[in-house]
Amino acid sequence: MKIIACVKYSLDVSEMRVDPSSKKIGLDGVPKRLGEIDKVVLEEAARLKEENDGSLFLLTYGPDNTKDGLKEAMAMAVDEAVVVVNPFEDTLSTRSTVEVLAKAIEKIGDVDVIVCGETSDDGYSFQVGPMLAERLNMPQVTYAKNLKIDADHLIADRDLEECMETVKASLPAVVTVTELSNEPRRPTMLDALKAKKKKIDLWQTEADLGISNAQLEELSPLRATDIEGIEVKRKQVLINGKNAGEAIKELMNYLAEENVMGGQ
Amino acid sequence: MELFGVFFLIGLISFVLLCALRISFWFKGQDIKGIQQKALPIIWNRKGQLFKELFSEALTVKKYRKKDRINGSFKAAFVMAFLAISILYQIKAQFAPQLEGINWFLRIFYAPFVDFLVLANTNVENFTVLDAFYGLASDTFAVIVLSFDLTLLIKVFTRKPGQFKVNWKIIFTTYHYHLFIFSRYLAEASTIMAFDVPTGIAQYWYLGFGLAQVMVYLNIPLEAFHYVLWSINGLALGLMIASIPFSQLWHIVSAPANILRRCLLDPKDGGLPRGRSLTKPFDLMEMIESENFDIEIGANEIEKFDWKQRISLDACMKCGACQDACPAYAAGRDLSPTLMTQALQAKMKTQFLKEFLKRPEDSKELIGNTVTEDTIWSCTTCAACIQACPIDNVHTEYLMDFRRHLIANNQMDKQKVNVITAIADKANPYGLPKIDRAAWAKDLTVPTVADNPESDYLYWVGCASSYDTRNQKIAKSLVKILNKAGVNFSILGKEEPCCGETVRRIGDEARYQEMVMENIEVLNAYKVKKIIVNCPHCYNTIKNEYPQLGGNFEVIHHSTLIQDLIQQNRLELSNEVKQTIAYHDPCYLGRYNGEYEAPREVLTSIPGSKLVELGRTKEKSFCCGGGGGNSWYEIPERESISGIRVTEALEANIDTLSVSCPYCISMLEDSLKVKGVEKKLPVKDIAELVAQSIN
Amino acid sequence: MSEQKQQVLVFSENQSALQELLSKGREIASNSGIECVAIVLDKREKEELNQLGGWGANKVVVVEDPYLENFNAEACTDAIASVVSQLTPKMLIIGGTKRDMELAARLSGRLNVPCISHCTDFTVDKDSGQVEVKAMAYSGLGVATYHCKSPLVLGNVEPGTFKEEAIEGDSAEVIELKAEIKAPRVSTVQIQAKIVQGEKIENATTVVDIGSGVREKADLDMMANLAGLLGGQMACSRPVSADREWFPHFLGISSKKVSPELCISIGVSGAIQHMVGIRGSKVIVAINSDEDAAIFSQADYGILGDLYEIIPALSEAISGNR
Repeated sequence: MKIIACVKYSLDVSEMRVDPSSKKIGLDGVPKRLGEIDKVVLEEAARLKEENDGSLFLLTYGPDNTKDGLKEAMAMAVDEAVVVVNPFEDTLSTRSTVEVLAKAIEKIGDVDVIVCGETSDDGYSFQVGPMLAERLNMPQVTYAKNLKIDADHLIADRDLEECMETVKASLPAVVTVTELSNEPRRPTMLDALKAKKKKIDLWQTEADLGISNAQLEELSPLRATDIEGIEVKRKQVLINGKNAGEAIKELMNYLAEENVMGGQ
Repeated sequence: MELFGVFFLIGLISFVLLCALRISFWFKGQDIKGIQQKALPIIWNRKGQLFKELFSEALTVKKYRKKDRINGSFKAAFVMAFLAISILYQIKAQFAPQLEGINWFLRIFYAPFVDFLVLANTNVENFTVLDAFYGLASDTFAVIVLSFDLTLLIKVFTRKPGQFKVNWKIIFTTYHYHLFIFSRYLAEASTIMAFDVPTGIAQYWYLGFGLAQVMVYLNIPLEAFHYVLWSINGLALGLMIASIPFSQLWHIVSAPANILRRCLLDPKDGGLPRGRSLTKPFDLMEMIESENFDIEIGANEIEKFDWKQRISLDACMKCGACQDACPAYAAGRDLSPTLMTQALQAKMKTQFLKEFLKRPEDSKELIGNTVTEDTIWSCTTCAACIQACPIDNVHTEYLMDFRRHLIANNQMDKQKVNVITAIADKANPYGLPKIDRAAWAKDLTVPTVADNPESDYLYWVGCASSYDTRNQKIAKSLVKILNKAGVNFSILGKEEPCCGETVRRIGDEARYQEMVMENIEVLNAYKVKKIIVNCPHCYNTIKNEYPQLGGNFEVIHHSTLIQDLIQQNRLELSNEVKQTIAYHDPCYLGRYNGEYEAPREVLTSIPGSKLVELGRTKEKSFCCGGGGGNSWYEIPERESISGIRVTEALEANIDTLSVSCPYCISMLEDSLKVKGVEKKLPVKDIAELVAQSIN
Repeated sequence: MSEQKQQVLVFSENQSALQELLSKGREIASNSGIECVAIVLDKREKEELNQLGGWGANKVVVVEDPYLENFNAEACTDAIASVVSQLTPKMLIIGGTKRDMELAARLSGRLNVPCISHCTDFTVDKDSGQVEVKAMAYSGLGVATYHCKSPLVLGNVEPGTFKEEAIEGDSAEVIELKAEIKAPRVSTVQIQAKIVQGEKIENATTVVDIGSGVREKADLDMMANLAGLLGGQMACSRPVSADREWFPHFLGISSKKVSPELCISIGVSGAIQHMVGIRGSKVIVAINSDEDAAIFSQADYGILGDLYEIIPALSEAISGNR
């Protein structure tokens, strides 16, 4: 059973700040790391591998220093990793990413299950998983947990808003997981050091996958013309010196404006 | 050879063999050659110190006397008298005319019973002053022994419920020792009666003599039994000696051996009072370079403790000083350092004995059997146990080895995983963004080391004072002080890492070493030489533990710095702070580093202040409960450790409780809030009080 | 048919989200002379379909097929792709529920157009007809602006972004369309509805956060009442749980973290360890009697006062509003 876990070396959004004067989001020096959701992806894939005596590939598309961020990931039962190097500075679009991942998966070949996160920590588009299923023409189970393989079918629970839907999909299939799908194992530092010996392949989009830069750009016609930062600062409005009744009246006004009293 | 001599000889031989067996337990599985090569030269070099220690500790039990004056003094008297009398008997045996015809070697085995022969064969003419002296010495020895026994007995009766003291079980299992004493004086009496020893001679053996009078008065024909009684005495002595290796009395051998172990600790190892900086269990760099990651980390079996730890276990005499001092125990946590040490001692004895007898036990695992996980995580590493221990055992090191084992085997609960992950990813235990680390300083004049590379000092703010809103006030106060005094300093700003102490105390040694090596590189890149800290944990780690990994910096706690600034008149403390203040000694500044005076001098320099002491103060200070990673996870307890401490503070009639550690502030303030009295007793760092006093 | 009007197509599996999107669709449609069309893939009564006009639909396109049951993703993709090919849409706006988002991404792949996620606004230029879309960037840290060049603009929208507005009397024309829908390779085995009661605190939309300032256990009745009125749940800080044992769990750095719409922190000091547990909240209200309490600088609205006066007044005001 061959399993591929798709992960992303993503920007740590909690370290990004909006410059109060220019309103621009500072991207310089923002650290990148494997996202929280990517650990869940690896855990789900690792579990599937261990339960079904399979092999686990880690696949990622990113800058060439992505290798450095994979130290602990490799200790999560990964057999081999493939890093496809992004020839551009940033991710151009979800469609170009999906094309690259699809070609890489086809090159790895004979895949049974592809596990992705429902979205990435920084892009937050929720697109790559389903788009990948569409591109590879494979069935898909989104928001999955409790994955099981039964003969050549995949059974999983989909964690939807109002219900838990148990579905059965034929293999090969693409699966996306949410951050709550499992509790990832935490490899120790020593596990990570022992995992250093494992193979990490570096592939080039053009040379290894036959995708030219022009093709990637063609798949990315839409670029943001502007990104304005929202300063999420607490308002620090202090209601002081009033009696309880007046204070509450003022508060209720604010809360109505904020539209947070929906409740029942 | 008389029967008593034979018993004694057999006893001695048994003792030697059993002693060798039990000593072998300390070295089982250890690299003996390596130990010989490394340890013996050090011991030889320190022989002067060693003899001094043996004299003061083994003979006069100095530290134990400090802890328990009465029992300790009698014990010292007992030990010294025992040695004296043994030597005297040997000398007597060698020169006693009553033993003529017996070769000198055999005379050794007659020595304890020489009184029998003297009394049986002496007449008034050849009775010298020396003989009289011997008689007095012999029976005075008995008096000392009986007095010591009495103090032990009193301990049994004065034991408070739950308190760890001598109990009936101990008294009973040393029956042969009591048999030896009582049979001896009965034997003396009986010999006096049997051989009609003239009063002029017998009176010097006053106990035996007195007893003889009583026997005569009671018409008990004790004289018929004198040979039997001496034989019983010999048997008792033989049994007593033979039992030493596997009974309560083993400490006779293990305690001096422990002194040997202690003299191996280098007082220069971190410049600490010995045993207080954590030892380095392995070297990560070496592991990486040799690519050998299969080493055992931590301990879950007795055999994984090294020989020094095992000697310490054996030397424990259950005095209970550590338990009395332990804050975790006082809070009702599942940790008693005494019980833990005793349990490990017993386990070592039974497991290795059974292995020797080829009947090994099923389970060697300690965690879950001899100690529980709650026990392991209950420790705050406050070192009160080490401070209190009369034989300088390092109880925390066993707990650390257990923790290292749990971490290495990924057996941590979510809380601990979270805090380690937070420190690993975000360089602070709160998991807050690195970019905000210096946000506390944004409205102040605080240059970063990049802006001010020629600064004299680096102010290492630490995670608590950087991120915790309450503790940020300490950093702000200290900056005010430094600027007022014109100190040329800088901070690392958002590049400041976590010092790593929490990671190490939770037991993730590998991650700790990796972090610290990176930290040292950062500090060296900025050519940092002197570091000011306001957190004793950062202080202890950077000062005493970073050198283990190649980082050597001069670290100054802010209390010392402020004291210097005041003495140099660089600070004008003009505003009065009219408060009665008590200072709570933080564990990592006080017990770990011996700094008690500087903070007090700072406080007394503040005009209007009145400094008083809490009940448990200085080296006996009661932990706030925040150390050893404890502030980051929950542990079952009856009441909180900080709750106990604030109760003590509240009863002390003070206006302000002063500390010099951010953990202490958080823990103590939290407890006051829970009790609803935080307005009644403010908790302030000394920097805050000084800042209040300057303009 | 070259003069056939263009459409802004709208779909969501969730009725309330659909209403919001239709209202926005109506706005776009009226401003740019195109039609707002709702796509419906589940079984509904004709009456219901007509009523979608009140929310903003000019037309309602219905596709019926047994494969569409439970909004099967593959079938829905086939259906909507087919609808798109049969009409002349300018924009396709999908809702933001989990199923919706999967669908939007699949449609992007199927229709070969980019999909913009988390759109917050759509404007059509009156002259050029070009669509400008604003959408969330970096998990909500910023708003990105896109000028769309492709013939079909595809985006998804988080529920609650637009305001729904019903206009009485407006009704929609219902059109049935046929679509070629392949047999899906994923089938539903069972569906288990989620129990709303006893929900995890992490799912609460309102949290009443109780701190050490609340003195007696009996005071929790007042707090429970407030939580009930707000349709929320109670939680607490560590000392209240660990020391007083009023709750089995607490919010904080070493425990649970919540991101409700509204968090009311009562008698909470604002210590960092606890704030880490609640800082995901959209709005934080703090009630504390200590003016130095750290919580005030970490809240949106703070009342400096006695909670024993404030909370009853607050509860009264809320129930008065009902």
